[in-house]
Amino acid sequence: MPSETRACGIVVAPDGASMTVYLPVATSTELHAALETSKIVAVVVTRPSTHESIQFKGMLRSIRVAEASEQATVQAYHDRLVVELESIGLPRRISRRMSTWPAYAVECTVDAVFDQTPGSRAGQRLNEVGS
Amino acid sequence: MSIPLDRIVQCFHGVVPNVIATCSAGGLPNITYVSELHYVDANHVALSCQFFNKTAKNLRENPYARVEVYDPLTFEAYRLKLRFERSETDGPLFDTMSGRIDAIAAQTGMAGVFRLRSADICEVLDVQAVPGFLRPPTPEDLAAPIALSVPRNDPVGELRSLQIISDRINRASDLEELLATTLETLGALFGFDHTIILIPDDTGDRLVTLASRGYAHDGVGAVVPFGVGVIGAAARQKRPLRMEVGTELRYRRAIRRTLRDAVTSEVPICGLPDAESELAVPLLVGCQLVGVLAVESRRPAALTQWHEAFISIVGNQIATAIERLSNVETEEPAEQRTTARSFCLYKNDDCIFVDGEYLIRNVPAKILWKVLSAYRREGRTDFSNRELRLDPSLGLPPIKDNLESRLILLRRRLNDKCPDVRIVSSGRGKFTLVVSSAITLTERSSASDLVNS
Repeated sequence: MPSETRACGIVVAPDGASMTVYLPVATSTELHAALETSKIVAVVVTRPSTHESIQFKGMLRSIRVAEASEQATVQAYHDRLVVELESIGLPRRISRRMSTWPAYAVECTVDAVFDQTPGSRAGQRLNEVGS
Repeated sequence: MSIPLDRIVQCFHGVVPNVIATCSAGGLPNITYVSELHYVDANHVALSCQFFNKTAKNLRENPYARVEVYDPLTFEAYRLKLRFERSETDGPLFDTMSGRIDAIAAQTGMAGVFRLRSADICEVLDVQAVPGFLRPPTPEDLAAPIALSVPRNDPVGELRSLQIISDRINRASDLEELLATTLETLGALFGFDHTIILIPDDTGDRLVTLASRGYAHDGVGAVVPFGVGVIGAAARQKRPLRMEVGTELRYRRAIRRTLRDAVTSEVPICGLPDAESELAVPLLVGCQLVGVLAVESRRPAALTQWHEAFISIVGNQIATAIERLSNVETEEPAEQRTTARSFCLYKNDDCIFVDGEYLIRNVPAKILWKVLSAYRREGRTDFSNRELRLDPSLGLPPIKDNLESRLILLRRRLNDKCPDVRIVSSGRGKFTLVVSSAITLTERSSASDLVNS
């Protein structure tokens, strides 16, 4: 049985070979435990107003509690999400209540990137990265 | 403890895309977004398989999946554990899911380009709320409560309101009163602020708008092909259809962008361009479709199963009333203006333009042309429904000719586009042509061919 949770931020390294995914501690207990046993990670990112989506696959390098210096990054990501969700009808007063902090910082490799936008090209590999 | 599935069914057509995670037989995870889940029964959901993607492949290798869904109003999150059971490629469930997909596919110019391959049925093993997904609300959050479209916590009040609208429908003395009263009452008593009534037109494969409420333009005369959009699909399938149309359109348009070469133009549909929720119920007398009643809202999740049931009851009454009033004459006032009008009939598609602008087509156009020609030729202004029914050139069917609906449509189109030419009642089964401008009549076989003038 796979395990999943909604992330609250992602930062891809400039060389595209690694990424840091932020997970709310409040909702990630099960996923945190699963990552202790399985190191394989899949992350999907979407823009809800257009459904444009990509999926990253990689291997776990480490999990740690995010540092205070990273909170601004997570908050900025969340602020953009709130605006995006408002554009499709979800009021800010609701979406701004999503838990984002404290967060785990999940460090992963980026081994493959896939087009995940709905349609015939969904699942198509976009590029070879980190190789 | 697992949450009963029917308590979260509203999450299956959410605003925020739901997430599904699967694993291959070798344990490689895959995670993606799904447009909607379909509630099958208390223990099963169905996934729509339109492209045989990684999720579908994984489910056939390793049947377990996790889905995270979100309440469209409260944004509470729930996690479902699923086990894939089987695929269905025909039957009632497949037809229902396929009909929804086809409706939006047709609207977005992708009819036949993609289709439902299978309904993938999954057993729901567990449903849990995601604790801590939302932080507790602050006083500021609570200061702006979420508004529901219709207050529904007073069963006696609901029944009383239903009685009121039922009485008004029953007392309507003609079709125009019926249409106006019904839409006004739906708005005033129940908060349905955007409503449309359409009837089948003479082609038999599309609907034409007869009345509306809550729009900048009434849209009378606008057509919806059968099978296109929520309204067209409800007409074709002869059953109610309720959809989070904003979410669906965003999802299908994403697909459309990936199929740029294979699609046709999007079909413009009457109604709100930014509707999030839409409900259409067929107006049926026996098995005969006499129209469609559509309700829409800019708010996500504004229309629920309750609204579907309620509007269906009202729709049944409207359908019966349309049948009852189909031969009763009405009168409509209109402003008088003095000007010159140039009417042109395109004979290839029985379509009339006035001053270069589309006015009306098919049987109502033939009726208008008949009376305008008599007026020009003989100065005649008085006509009867009977003579229209006896004129084979108009193409009215021998029974259930909907002449009254056609005359209402014609009156409204004239009132909207050409108010100095009016058709007003002059007694039961009679009407008078009132012309307060100079008119010229031109016939063309087609847009490029002048026949006479």
